[in-house]
Amino acid sequence: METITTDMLLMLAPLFVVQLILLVVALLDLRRVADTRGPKWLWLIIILFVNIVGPIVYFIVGRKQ
Amino acid sequence: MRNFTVLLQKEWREHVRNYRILWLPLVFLLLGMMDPLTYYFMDDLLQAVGNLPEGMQITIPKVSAVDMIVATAGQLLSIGTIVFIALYCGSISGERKNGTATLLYVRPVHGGVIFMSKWVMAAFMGALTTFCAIAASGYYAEIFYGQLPIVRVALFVGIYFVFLLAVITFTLMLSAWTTTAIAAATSIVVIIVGMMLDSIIGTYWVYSPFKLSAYGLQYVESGIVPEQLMMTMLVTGAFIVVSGLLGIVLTQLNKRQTNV
Repeated sequence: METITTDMLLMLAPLFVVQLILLVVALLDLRRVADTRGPKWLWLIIILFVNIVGPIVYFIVGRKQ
Repeated sequence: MRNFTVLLQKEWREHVRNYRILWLPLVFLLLGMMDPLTYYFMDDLLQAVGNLPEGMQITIPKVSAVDMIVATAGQLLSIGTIVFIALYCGSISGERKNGTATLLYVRPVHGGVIFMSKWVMAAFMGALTTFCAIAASGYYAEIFYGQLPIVRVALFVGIYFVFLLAVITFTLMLSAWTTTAIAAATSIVVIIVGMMLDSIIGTYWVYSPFKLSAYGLQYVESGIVPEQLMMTMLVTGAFIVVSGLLGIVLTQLNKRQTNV
């Protein structure tokens, strides 16, 4: 397997950027809301360590509407 | 009309405050990027995680740019639909539960205005997210696999949007009628089971809202407009109008039944 080239990284860059924005927005929201569905520290771990899906799951399930 | 503008502003502000205006398009951007990227890097991915024996050969079929759009469309139809149901099943019933609705119900605002303001906002989000997903997918498809038939894809987006509108209207109608939980469960069951039934015994009828997505996929794959498409569009349009009107009536009914 060839090593990762800069070309490949450039192609994947938008993916990482979108993921990063999603993560930051989820963290901002988590800091702002008073209460979540389930303990707050658990959501922090999920958002930080579950790639891509973590912030999405937080927004759909974790928020109290 | 004045009421409507004010309520629409309220919906908009709500979407901005809970960041929905930001994260929902981002999620769909990711959804659109996923398929072209996994297909393109399939070889590397398999080698990196696959634990394959030495000398193993896998032939990956040659795909075209349109195939990527088809794959993304499949994602939109399953994941996208469920996300929209999950997000909007509580938009009217939730307000009834947390008390915001009572504030509205004591004012001379018609139920139709309340329902329509929510519907317009949901439809706007639907259009925005569909555009994001298809644009992301199309961008990568063009880079990796060459030219896309733009007109065909654009038409498909239109067809899919009508399908999504049907889903949104149905969900909002249920939300106006019952509680959040029942609305979510019913609309997911109706739409998932409906799709399944339609693919199993759907050969006995040609026009149903569920068929619209199938015809859309068929069209984007082959470029030939299925002859039943027009009629299916009309049926789906009628379905949207009926459930929209029902939703308005139910919202109005709810308003009358509220004791303050």
